[in-house]
Amino acid sequence: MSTYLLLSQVADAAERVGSGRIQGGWEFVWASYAVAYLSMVLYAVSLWWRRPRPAASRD
Amino acid sequence: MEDKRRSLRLGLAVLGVVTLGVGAWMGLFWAPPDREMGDVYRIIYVHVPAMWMSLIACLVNFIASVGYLFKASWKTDSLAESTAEVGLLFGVFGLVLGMLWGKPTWGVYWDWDPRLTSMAVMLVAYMGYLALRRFIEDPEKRAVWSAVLGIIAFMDIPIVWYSVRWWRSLHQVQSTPQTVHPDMTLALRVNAFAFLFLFLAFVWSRYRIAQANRLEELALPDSLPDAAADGGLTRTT
Repeated sequence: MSTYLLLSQVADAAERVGSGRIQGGWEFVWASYAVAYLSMVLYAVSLWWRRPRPAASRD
Repeated sequence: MEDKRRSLRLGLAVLGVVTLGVGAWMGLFWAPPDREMGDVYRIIYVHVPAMWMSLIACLVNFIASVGYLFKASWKTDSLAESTAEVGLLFGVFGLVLGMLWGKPTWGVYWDWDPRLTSMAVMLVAYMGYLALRRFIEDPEKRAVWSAVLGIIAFMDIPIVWYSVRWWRSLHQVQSTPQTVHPDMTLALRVNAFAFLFLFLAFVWSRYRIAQANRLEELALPDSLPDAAADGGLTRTT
């Protein structure tokens, strides 16, 4: 019985090695990519908003 | 000529977006998980390029600031202004990404660790730089004072870079291609190039805005009659 238990524990550990010790955390990954891309999109919009325009079209 | 430049700017931005799409796919799905951090480490593909761009921006700001003090030119002043703003953008969201990475790996979003603290000091310094530019109306004084502040602010950059080696830090030391899986290196490089293309497009666009603002200021009756006389953007003093 204890041999089976030990083997199953080893198998679990071996499975975890392939995907890292920290499991999950995808919500942090998605949040990070969203923050990065949204920041750049908003800044691009702000640049477009502030773009130099001919004097006539600014009034 | 202007049409050609506009096409080039747009091309740079499109190239950046396309490369970013490829980089996102590589970072999120293609690159293998990390032995220790699992999938959470995938934040590296946006966090590290953002920080690199921020540091490059600070370096260019420093060079432009020194250049302005040696030979005053509205071009170097505008370049300094644009790199400070774009660098601050990448630095702020890069720091937020670092905090998002810190929570699942360190257990906290923030710690007064040497790397995080020196980075926060750097961002506050460049916020001060941009605030100073807003406060001073005289373009010449603004250019000189902000150039001096740009040089002082840059003194923090080597501290940011070497903080992980000089002191005991929660933050890991810089990785090298020899210490990580080749697929991870490739994904990081693709994302770094994507960020670089977008960074260049941002700086170029922001530079145009700064130059247009200078021209407008020089057209005002109270400002710099000598510079306005020669048509604007080339200063000889």
